[in-house]
Amino acid sequence: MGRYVLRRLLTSIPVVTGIMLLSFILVQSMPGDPLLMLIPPDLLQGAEGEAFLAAQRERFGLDDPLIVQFFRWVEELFQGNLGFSFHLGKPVTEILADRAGASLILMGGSMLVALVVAVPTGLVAALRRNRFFDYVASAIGMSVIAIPSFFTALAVIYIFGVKLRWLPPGGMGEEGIGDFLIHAIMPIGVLSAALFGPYMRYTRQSALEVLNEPYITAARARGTSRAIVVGKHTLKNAAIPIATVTVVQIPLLVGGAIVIEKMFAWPGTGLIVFNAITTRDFPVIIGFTLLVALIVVLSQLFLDLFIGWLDPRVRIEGAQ
Amino acid sequence: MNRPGGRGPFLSSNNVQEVSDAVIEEMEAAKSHQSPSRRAWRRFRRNKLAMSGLFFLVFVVLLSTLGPLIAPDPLAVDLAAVLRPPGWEHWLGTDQAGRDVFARVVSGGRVSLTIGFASAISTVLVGLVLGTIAGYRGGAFDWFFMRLVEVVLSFPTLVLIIFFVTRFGRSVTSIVLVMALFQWPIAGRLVRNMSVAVKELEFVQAARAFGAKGFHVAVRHVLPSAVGPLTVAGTLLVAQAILIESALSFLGFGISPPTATWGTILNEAQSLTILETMPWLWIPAGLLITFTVLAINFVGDGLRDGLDPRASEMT
Repeated sequence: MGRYVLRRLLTSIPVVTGIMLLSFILVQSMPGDPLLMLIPPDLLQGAEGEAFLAAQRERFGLDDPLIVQFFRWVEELFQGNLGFSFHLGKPVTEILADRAGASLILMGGSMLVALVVAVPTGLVAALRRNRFFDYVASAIGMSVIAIPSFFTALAVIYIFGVKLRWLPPGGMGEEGIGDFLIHAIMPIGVLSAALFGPYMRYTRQSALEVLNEPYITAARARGTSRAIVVGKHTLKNAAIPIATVTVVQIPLLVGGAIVIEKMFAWPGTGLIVFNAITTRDFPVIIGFTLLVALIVVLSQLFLDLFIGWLDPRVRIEGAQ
Repeated sequence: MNRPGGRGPFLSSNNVQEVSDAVIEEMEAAKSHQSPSRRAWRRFRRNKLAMSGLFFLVFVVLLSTLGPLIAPDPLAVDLAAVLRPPGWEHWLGTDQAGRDVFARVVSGGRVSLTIGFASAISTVLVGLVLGTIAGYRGGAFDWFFMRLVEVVLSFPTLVLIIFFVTRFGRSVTSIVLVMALFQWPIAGRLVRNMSVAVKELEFVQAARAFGAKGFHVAVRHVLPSAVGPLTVAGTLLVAQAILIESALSFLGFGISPPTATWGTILNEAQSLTILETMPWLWIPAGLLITFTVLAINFVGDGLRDGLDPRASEMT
């Protein structure tokens, strides 16, 4: 296990470096003076500001080779400095941290709802392969992939928010848990519908693969009950690919969340990024994509370590 | 679960009938020396969903290429006929500026489909070139290639695409290029894995033993085996590109107005009054995106089953 952990950790290093390099290239491609992104704008007022700026330019060595600047940028990064917003004058980390909670609730809630619905559906679809249930489930799965989530959002706002007036069309609801839940139904519903398709298809496919394994036939032959074969043997073995697909889907989920937050005025990081794009506030956009990429790589790392802990075959694979 | 008459997932009685029909047909096809692509087309034709997807796709392509010829000018503002409901004069009504919605939907389809197909083709090309080289050459290039795939796949590509499009211009060309820049990894990895697998096969080894040069072997022997999976991936990329473009334009970061695309039409319809009282402004474009993407996905699934029947036996 120790060697596996070490090997897996080592493969993450080039990827993390690559993510930082790509982000640094984005920073370099930004219009304007990079210093203005590092210094709080209130220090740059008047004549002393000019002198201060020149001193800082000297101090930060902006004429140094790019590679030196890259390492300095990485050092700042590790101290939690993602630069300063052009428009809000606050550190990007602070802006994003303020709103991260709302986005995590939206994305985590949608993932959870989607999994709770999609995994049983996919499992039953696999067991009832080429029967009515399977066709209906697959049809729904394909349709929700095809409907753009903003169109679903428009439709549910129209039906439940405007026509029936059952649900508030936007906002997060500040007055207690009931109010919050009422506000959360539509955004979480729409975002989880988009996730249902890939989750369901993946569950169905991995369950079918497991069901074709000889050990399932052997378990059946031994007279193991159907419930145990499905619940224990099949689901347990299909769980790894399902967990993998949820992690792989995170970047898409983040993109989807931006659209949903915009549509439902949900006060998360997606809305911040949306506003940053309209005001061309590049440090915020780059800081956000960098953070997401790092989170994705880390989740992949933890998931792989967890799988390695569960499944000895994974540890040996690729050891040669 | 294989009990006769049981409700197991493996072989129900009608399934047996289907499978044996397919096997007989395969054998006959092999006897009559049909080429693999003809056999794939045969299998594709048997797939009802794929065929209806293909018909719908042809319909949408015809509509958006020929539609603008019969529809009025999609940019013509007519302030005397603002927000008219659908009728004889304006089939799908008019919008806030009195522009004909039908004309905007069909000419928008032209732009959306162009972006969809053009970016899928360029994405596949990037993936094809990089993936073949990585898989065939192996070594440091391959290592670098695989890490780059992981890096790009970790980023929320929608945000990067928006970032680059706002930075470098909101034209069709720039959207197509930016999508190719960030969408290639999945196609590229597919090709790379194919060429790694194929280059060890006997016929490739034989070609090398006869002294064939690397480039020739890659193009003549390794590439053709990647064509099938790549066609499927390419089809799905068209659907994805159409969805991304519509999201981009819907958010107001895509093609700039007044040019119509399915996304911009929906973008202009974002208000509670329009949602409530003028459904003709937003439902047609939304439905067209949905059904086009659905049709493309059906065609993609049909192609996969047609090109590789063994893979579809599993699922």
